[in-house]
Amino acid sequence: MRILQLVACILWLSLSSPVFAGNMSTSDDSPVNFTQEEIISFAKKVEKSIAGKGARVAIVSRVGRSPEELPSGINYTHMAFWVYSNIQTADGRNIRGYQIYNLYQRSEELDVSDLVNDFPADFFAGVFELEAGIVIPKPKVQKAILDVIASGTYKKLHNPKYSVVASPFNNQYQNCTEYTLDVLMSALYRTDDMDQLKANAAEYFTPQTIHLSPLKTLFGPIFVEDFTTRDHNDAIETATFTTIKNFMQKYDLTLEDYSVKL
Amino acid sequence: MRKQSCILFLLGFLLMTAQPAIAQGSLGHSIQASKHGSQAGAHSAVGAAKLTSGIVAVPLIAIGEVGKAVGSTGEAMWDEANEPLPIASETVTAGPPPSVPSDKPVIENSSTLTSTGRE
Repeated sequence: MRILQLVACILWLSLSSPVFAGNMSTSDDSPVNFTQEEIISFAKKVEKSIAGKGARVAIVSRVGRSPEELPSGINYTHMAFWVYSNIQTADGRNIRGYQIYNLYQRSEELDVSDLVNDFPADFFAGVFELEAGIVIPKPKVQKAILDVIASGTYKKLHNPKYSVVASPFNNQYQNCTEYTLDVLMSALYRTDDMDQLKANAAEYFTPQTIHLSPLKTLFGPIFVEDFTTRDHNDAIETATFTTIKNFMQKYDLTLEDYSVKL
Repeated sequence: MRKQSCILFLLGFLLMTAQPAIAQGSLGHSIQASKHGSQAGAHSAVGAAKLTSGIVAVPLIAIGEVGKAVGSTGEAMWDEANEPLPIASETVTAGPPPSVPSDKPVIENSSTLTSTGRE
C-alpha cells in the first residue's frame, strides 16, 4: 500500500510540475495554434524588424510552450543567433535575409544536440505564442560574434550532451542558452578555451535559479531523458534568454533589446 | 494481484506523462514539414503561402558585399550605427533533412558556414 501511495504521489507531482521549455506543440496530438500563413507572416515581421535596425547579428528567442507551464523566471524556450546573409535559393537566385544558427535537440534522442542552420519561418514553426524576444548587440559585439560563427570555434564550443537545465558554469552538458552564452563569451574574450570561458561566466554571469521540489529533482532524471542535475552542486541554475539579456545590459554590450508580438 | 496491476498502471501512466512535464527545450522544425497547414491552402491555392528553399547562405557584413567572407572587409563599419538592411519579401525555408547523397551531389559546399540543415 505504501508503494501505491508513493507512486500516486510521484504521479501527482509529475502532473503538476512545471515544464522547462520546448516545442512539443508540434507533436501529433498537440493543438494547432497558428496557420502556416500566420507563422510565415510573423517570421517576416521579425526579420524586417531586425533588418530595419541594421543588425547583421541578433539574438532571438521564441515561446515554445504556454508561459503558465514554465518555471518562474523563464519566458522563452529557445534562442539562437540570426545572421544577415545572402541566401541562394534552389532556383539559383540570391536574396537577402537571415539565416539562423541553432543548437537543436535530436527529436529521437532528446539528450543529444546538433548545430542546425535554418530560417525564420522554420524557427517559429510550432511555437505556442507568436512572440520573439530580441537582443541586438552593439556593432562591434556583432562583429566579434560573427567572427566566432565563421571560425572553427563555433563547432568547437558545441557539446552534444544535452540537458534542458544545463549549468552555464561547466561543460558537462549544454543547451541552446548555454551555447549562446558560450559563443558570446568566446566572442568577448576572443578565446575558445572552455575552462577560461566558464571561469569568466562564473565571475560575471548571473543565472536563473530553477526551483523544483526535492522529489521532482530526484525523479526527473529517471523519467525525463533530457533532464539531469549531475552538473549542478546544490541549486539548479541555468542560462535563459532573460539572464543573457540582463548580462549584456549590465556590461553595456547591447544596442537594443525588445520583443515583437503578433 | 489487483494491487500489482494498479501499481503497474500508475507507473505506466507516470512514464507516459512525465516526459512533457519536464519537457524539451530546443527541438527543430521545418515550416514545410509543419502540419499547421493553411486553411486557405486546404481549399484553394489562392492565398497559400509561397515558400522558397534556401540551399546556401553566406553572412553579409555590408550591403553590396555579396558572398564575401566574414573578416575580409574593413572594420570601420562596425564602429558606426547600423543602417537599415533590405530583406526579401519571399519566405525562405530549410530544405529536407540530410540523407545519404546519390551518385551526384546536389550541391557542393565549400565550408560548413554555407551549408544549411544539420552539420
